[in-house]
Amino acid sequence: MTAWAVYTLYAAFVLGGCGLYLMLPNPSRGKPLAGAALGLLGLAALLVVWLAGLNPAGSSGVFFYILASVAIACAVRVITHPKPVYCALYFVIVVLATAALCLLQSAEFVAVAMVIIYAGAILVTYVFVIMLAQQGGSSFADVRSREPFLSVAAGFLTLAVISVHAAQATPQRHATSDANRANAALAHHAEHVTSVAAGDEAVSNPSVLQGQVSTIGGAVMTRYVVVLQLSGLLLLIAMIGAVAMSRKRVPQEGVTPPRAPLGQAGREVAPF
Amino acid sequence: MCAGSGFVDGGHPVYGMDGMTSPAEYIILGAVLFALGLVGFFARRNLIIMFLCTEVMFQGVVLTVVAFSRMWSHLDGQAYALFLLVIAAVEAGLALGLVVLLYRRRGTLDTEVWSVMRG
Amino acid sequence: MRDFFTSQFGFSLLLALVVYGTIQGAVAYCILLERKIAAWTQDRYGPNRAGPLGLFQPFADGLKFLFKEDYIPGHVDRVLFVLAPGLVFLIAGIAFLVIPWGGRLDVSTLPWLGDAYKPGERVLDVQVVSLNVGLLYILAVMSLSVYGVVLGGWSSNNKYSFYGAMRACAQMLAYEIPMGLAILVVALTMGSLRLEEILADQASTGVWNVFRHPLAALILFITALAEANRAPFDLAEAEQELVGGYHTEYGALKFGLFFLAEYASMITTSALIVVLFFGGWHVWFLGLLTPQAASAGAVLAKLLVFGGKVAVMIFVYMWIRWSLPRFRFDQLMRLAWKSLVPLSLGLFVSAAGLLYFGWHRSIPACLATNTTVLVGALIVAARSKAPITGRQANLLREGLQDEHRSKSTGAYSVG
Repeated sequence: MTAWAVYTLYAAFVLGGCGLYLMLPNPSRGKPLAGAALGLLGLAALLVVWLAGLNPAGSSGVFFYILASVAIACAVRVITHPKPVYCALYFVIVVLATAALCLLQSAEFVAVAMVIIYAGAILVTYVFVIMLAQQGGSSFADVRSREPFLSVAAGFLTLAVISVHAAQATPQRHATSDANRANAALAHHAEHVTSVAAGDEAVSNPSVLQGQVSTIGGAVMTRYVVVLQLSGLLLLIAMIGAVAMSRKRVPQEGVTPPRAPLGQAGREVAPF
Repeated sequence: MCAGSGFVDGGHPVYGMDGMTSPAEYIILGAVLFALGLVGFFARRNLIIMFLCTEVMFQGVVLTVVAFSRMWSHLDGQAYALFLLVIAAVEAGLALGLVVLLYRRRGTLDTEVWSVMRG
Repeated sequence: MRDFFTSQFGFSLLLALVVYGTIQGAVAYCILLERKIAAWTQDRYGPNRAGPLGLFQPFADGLKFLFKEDYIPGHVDRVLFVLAPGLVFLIAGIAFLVIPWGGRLDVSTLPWLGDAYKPGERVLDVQVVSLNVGLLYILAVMSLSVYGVVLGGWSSNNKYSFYGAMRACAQMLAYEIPMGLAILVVALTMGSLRLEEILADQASTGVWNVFRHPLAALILFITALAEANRAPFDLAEAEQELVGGYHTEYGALKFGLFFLAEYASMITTSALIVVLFFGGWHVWFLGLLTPQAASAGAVLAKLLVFGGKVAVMIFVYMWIRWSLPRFRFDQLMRLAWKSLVPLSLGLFVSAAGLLYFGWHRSIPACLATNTTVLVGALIVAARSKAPITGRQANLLREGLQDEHRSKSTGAYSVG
């Protein structure tokens, strides 16, 4: 990764961070158009890094750029939209975009499993949202954020550290001058991986990657069988915990509005 | 061992629809999603939105793990991704149960009402 | 141009358009058929004014949907209200992409392309996408389809719509599980998640999966009824209780989209059942219908056979709708969680056991395990004290008793 690519990446994060700060819910601001514009600038800078900085030989991954932009934009909406219902819906789009990105990396099984599992999980979340959040305007808490500046700063510092280090440590596709080095690095890592996966050639052999479901299944049922059992146990524990929690009767603690006097009950209730 | 199946320069992509995209791009994207979730988790006050933000972080992690899987041309990463989904499901079940419990007690989803300590 | 349409991509594109159009047309006539079947069941004539035997009725209905005023009530969430029917329609329109309609097609046997290609030079799948995980794809798309319903119900800002949406959601979550397990039984038996491989396997051996796992076929059929929101599982739109359920506030084209989507998903689920359990385009004693046969005539015959089986399936759907009364909500939940989930779990475990012993393809062994699971379930059901159709917990009575205790007045008459 060249120096200017790193700086552009930092610039992208600064722009995006400022935009996000302006977009976070705040009752004293109107529509955060300036924030949205800054955020879009940051996204554009990120795309520039992706297109030119990491991949100077030109790119054919149009789908990647589209899906990545969609995922980022919708994730921003998840954390900035004042209405919880819309947050949940934007999150659905994030999941679908992520699943499509997994498909692009030919991880078909993961993509489909993600859609199936998240469709159920988010649906439940979604229902909770619409049961617990009121119809109409946003609540008091939804139009305010807690320490927006510090959270954005913390989040984006983490981001800068992670992504620059990860991008520099990743063997990446460069122009031909770098290709040999990348190749060597990859071969080295691959050897390492293969030695880890001793006796398990099928898992690391690219030609087998085509029939993935059975290969993943094989790996899960042989090398990770203990993890599999543990995750089953975890699910069981979670299920029991959820049942126990939902059966518990809790006392209401004094924040409920006082009951209407007898003659007025039902008079001021909204249509829904 | 044929190294770097999908993304080594000059080679025909072995698999995948965009053999040209480098794994670094996916890793940066995963980090971005993770950071956005983190910011949301810190900044929002609605319990359910905080929960959604943790799920956004999960998306970033799954993406990164799948990218690693392709980087090593090794399917273990995808197995990890499946286990991550299990964790996400467990988290969804427990977190939503807790949210409902808290909601029943105070009648609101705002986290600030829980900032009072009682010794 | 010709080369494009005889490549798999171009052909898939063409096929997707053709199948989509066919399904839309079929949906229109399904609605007519539904009304006719309702009439026959109730000893009436049914629609018989537009055209001979009422055959032009779909056009009249379509025009009505198109030209009614597209009214949006003032109290709804406008964005989601408009989005919901579109979402439902879109999702109903992408589930059929992995269905293998007609085996493989050798382009050289098409009469107008006869001399352009050598035999066997270009053999195409008569299937829009051949996915490695086709079976799971269908499950994923179906599980997405309830979003539109929940969205529509919520955004209508109407308590009946909201009840309908909640019911649809609970029903979908409950019936997804036995459906997935019944499908997994097939996946275990056939050793593949590709629909075309499952179909070709049944066609080449001549043994349909329904002969191996009739119980799984029955479970899949029941859950498919529930997923398509068809009676007796149509609690989400129960007219007598909820006006129209989640689409109470919808009218004109937007209501039409909900309507079309319901029938389109009926066709897709029927096609799925036909592929998984009833051998797709395969019938016995017809030498033409083998997985190897790729001539244009064979493909046409396969398409016809497939369409015929789907039509029979849809007829059964409608027959059931007009014969059975609707479930009550507690019965619906009990059917899912206390009957279908244990049954399908038992089937799944027994199918895995058969696979372990290598008997997963033998008909007697499979039938024996199916019978064992069913008989076991029946014994458990017969020994349980819980009433079969009545409410197990009378919420009303319990609530009143609570109140009774607190007030210590005895003036309640509990029905």
